[in-house]
Amino acid sequence: MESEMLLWITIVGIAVIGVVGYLIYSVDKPHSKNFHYIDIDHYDIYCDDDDCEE
Amino acid sequence: MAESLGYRADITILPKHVAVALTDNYTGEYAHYTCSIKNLPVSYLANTRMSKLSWDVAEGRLSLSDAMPVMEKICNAPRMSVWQVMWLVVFANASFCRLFGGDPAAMAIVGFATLLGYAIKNICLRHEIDVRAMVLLSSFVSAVVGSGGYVFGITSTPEIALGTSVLYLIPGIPYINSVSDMIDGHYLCFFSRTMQAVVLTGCIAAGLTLAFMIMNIKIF
Repeated sequence: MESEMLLWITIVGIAVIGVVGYLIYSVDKPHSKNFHYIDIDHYDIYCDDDDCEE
Repeated sequence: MAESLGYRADITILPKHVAVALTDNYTGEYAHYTCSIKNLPVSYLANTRMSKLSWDVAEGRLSLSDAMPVMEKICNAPRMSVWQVMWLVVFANASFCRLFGGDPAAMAIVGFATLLGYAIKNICLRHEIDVRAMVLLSSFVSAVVGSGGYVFGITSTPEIALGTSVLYLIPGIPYINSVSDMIDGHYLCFFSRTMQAVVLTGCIAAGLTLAFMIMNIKIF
């Protein structure tokens, strides 16, 4: 019965760690509905008056 | 609704599509519209509101132009929180365990099994994983947790804990709808829904059997 206990703890442990890990990951990652990418105008950043055409 | 507006509607329901043929009772003009059925989560609240809206239009309390924005509002209404649904499912499944004669320890096991299995189900749904794989995985994990009663000997009703741990996965709505389709004579739809429900039930059984084999449970 001890091997079944070990197996139970292993399977349930993996499942719990997986679910909790996923929740932490999904809360932490910046793709939530409140996250917005900032549009960066690279032309504006990298061009100065000397090398940019009007 | 169609009759009250002076039309005749013939609706054909297919497993993946709906076809509506509308005929004007006075001019005889005819229009046909076919669209595919979207896979949306079940919402009894939306069903109730749509039913009320259709009766309001049919009985002349609301014009068709006024009904359109209401329909839009029903379709875009916010859905119930996933967390709220999860806890309700957990308590409902634990209550089922009690209903079948399980003791408080068995109820706790079933509650934990449902919580874990339902969380896995939600994660799989979010990532659009195949429904059959999702049911198989959730069923397996829930059954392994449900077998805790046998493994640790903490309950006097381990068989009830194990049996009820996967009840939340049973596709009840496709079964009910298939019977409804059969009574109405929509045999194609009846067969399609029945097969869909049978496949999902088979996946639950496969997950449960796998858990039985791995946990070395011999109750048959």
